[in-house]
Amino acid sequence: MKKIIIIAAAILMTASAFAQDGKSIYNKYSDEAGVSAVYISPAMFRLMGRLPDIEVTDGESFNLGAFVRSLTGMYIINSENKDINSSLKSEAERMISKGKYEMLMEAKDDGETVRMYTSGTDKIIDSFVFLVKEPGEYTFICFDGKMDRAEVEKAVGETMKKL
Amino acid sequence: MKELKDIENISFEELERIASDGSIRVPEGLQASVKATIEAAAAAEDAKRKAQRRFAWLPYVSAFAAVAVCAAIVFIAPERTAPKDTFDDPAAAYAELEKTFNYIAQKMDKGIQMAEAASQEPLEIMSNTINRTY
Repeated sequence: MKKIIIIAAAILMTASAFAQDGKSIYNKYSDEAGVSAVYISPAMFRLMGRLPDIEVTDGESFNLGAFVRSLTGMYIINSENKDINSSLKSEAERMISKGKYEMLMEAKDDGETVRMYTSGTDKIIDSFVFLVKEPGEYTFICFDGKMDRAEVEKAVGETMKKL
Repeated sequence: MKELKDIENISFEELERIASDGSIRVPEGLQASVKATIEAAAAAEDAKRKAQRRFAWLPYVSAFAAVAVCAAIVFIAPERTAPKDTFDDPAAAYAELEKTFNYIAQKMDKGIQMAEAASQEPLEIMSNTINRTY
């Protein structure tokens, strides 16, 4: 009996760990009421990479085309449904805690909390997660791919300069 | 020598009488041979029972594994299937991507502004203190 319980626990733990990523969260909430969702597939990113407009470099040296081609998925869930918000928040936080994510930034202001996480190596970011909690609203943004960490940091820097 | 059917037809009283007849010679080593045969049969039976006991959990685990696989198919598989693209047009997808980048940049800028404001405060306090002192 003990063996059965141990095996059951192991299977459930594996299953729950397996379920946590941008895709599973998107699939779970994208059809809910009060939720707007956007998904861009790897195939669409490849097509976008061929668009002539994004071949130009943005700013001094950042190549947006190369960056877009390095992405393999974008998942956005924006919820204004209070019941979904708390569930989505806990799912996103579970995904962060189960994965090897590192917090890049956190800002709290006037009831709004913004958190940014990345996972990967010193050179490559394989997942980028952006979470925004506002009163009555929760936003989950996840980028998957093989992003050059230096390029992302350069893009962040360029964006900051523009603002 | 008696045949098996002859022995089967002998009554219990007759069998008892034959068994207690000391004049009939018992072949040498028969007792040891019978004992060894009985012990071997008992050991074989014991080993069979142990083996059955060792794998008694197997049907339960198999049943549980089957249930777990079904549960995985029902609950996990839908979450793993690839979602449908929101956009058919790469240009529209790119516009959404830009919009998302801008949204992220705005939120990041808020954080940066807060950090800058926080770093300015100690400088202002120090500056005010110095001005008041001198």
